[in-house]
Amino acid sequence: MGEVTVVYILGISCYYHDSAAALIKDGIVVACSDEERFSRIKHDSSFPKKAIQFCLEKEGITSKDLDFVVFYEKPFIKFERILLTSLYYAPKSLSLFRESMKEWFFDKLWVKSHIISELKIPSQKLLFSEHHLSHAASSFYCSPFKESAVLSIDAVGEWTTTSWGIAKGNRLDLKEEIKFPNSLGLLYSAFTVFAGYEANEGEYKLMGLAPYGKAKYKKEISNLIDVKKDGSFSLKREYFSYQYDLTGVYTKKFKEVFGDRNVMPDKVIEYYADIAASIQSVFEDMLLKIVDYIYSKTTTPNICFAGGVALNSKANWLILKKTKFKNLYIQPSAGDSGGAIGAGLYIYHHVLGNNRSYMMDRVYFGTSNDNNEIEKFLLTKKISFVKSKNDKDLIDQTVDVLSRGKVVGWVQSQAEWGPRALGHRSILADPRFSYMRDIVNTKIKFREAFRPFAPSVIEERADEFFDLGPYKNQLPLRFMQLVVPVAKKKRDKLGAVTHVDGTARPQLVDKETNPLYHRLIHEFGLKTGVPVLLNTSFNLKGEPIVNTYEDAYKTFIKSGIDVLVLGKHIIKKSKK
Amino acid sequence: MKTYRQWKKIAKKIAGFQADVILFLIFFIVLCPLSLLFRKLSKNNSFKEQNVRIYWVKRKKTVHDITWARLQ
Repeated sequence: MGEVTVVYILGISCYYHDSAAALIKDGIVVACSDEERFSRIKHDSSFPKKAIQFCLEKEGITSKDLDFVVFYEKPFIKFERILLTSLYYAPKSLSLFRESMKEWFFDKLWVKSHIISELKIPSQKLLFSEHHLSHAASSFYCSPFKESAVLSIDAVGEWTTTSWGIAKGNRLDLKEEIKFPNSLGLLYSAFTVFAGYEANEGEYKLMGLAPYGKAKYKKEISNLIDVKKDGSFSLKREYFSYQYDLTGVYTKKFKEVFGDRNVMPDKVIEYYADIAASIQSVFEDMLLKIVDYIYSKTTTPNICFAGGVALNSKANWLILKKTKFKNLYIQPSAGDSGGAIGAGLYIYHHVLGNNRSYMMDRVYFGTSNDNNEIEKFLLTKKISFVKSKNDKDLIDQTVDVLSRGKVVGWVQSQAEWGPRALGHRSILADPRFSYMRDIVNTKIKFREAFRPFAPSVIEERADEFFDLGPYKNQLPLRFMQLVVPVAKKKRDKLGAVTHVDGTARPQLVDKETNPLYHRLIHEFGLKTGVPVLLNTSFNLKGEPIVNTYEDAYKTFIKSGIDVLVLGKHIIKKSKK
Repeated sequence: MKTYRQWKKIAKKIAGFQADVILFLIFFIVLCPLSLLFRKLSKNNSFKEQNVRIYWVKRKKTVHDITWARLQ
């Protein structure tokens, strides 16, 4: 009998933001993580050494066992873009040139030798995908679809900012693209910065602020863009400076139209809320035009969406509601970190010609916490805890504290992949009363008061609480990627998780992929009549989501969380 | 050892300053004149596209095989 050959591919994304590694075994994702979870630096862009080590250790292999290592983009083409942009915009591009050249000459140009020396692999094993191909592949090859349209939109890759294509079986072909500096992602980021938030970080905040305002400035914003019927667009350069300036994103002319930057972004200021509503509305209109165009070219009922822009969960819902596409898939980590998965899968399927057998319907690929280790840690640190006898006991005790208005830090088994905490590294609370939102915000998260919290609901009863229409079985609902209306009759029962516009971004929890969390919500429902929990990521403002039980304990001590559940162990905060 | 570490810190600062000066000179002596020249003469699409209104561009058909994947 011949030996069975296993193909291991390691995908890597790094050097921009959210660096990550993913290990793919015969086309199946077996381990993946963002580097930030280990380094504890939010949006860490450095080489993902620890994430790679985690992936290899999890599978019990070394870098020698890897068949290929794939970097998620083509660095030389990206360098060409930066060089030509500096050249074109000189002398205005001095800061771009100076800072970029330092970054590129010290680090980014040597990606190849860096990876080879870090992993000690022969150079033939190192491959490079393209930024938008990696995004598109991360969505399609993880989707349940045999055939689909694919759409990838983010700030910028090598040259491309937006691209679409068709995928069938193991083939993925991008057909058309829009190039830098015309970028929907950068347009949204420009207004994010204008509203007082940080680009690549504050886009969620702008989205959360939008429902507080009215789209009064749509016309003014539309004047900055030339949009065609087919959804393609061109930004008017005189209003934007991100092409050539690293320190600013918009010009004086932009300020003449919209005024000065928001200096109080923590508060809801009517003008900036109106701006947020306006840019969200313009953005949605543009996205829907693009999606309609893609449908006219592909006429498949399925679409896979990827890139940082696919994290705009408000707009994602409209793709299902307002276009002819019937099914939507978004890989849980749609941004740059997801490129690590996409790069590996693209090589495995499209380049090497292997068939598909994989679908990503869950997100638990990260660090695992062993109950024995947790106990050892608690005993060593002399931390008093109660060890639950079994799952029922654990859930009964947790439901009891939750229903008494306490806030619970909940850490179970493997960490989530992607930016959302989906019931393994979560802070949980009772969603029924709006004051719970203020408690979680002021005692624990310390974030802007206007930002909503998301609910987790058991899948079989999601219809009762949210107006999901025929889209209940869409996988993005499991990954908290769609903002949907809360059922009018239930809004008063979900005071802490219903946003000001009557929407929420629910996570539908199913029994099969998330049994313990499902049971917890189910039991909470039996006790309170509401099978829903407020679920927010287990981290403090400015920190990455906790990874290990030690991270969780540190966060627990620093914050106002009342009870910490680490695996089977329940720790209550002492009154001291 | 302590002196060496201190020297490394100072050397790093000097290197940073040197890099800034060199890049500044390259920018104004080489890049700026080239920029003017390129703007007038360039046939390079990637360069010209920076300031013209472009919309959907068809992607070039290339075979994505291992040779393609080895290119950076």
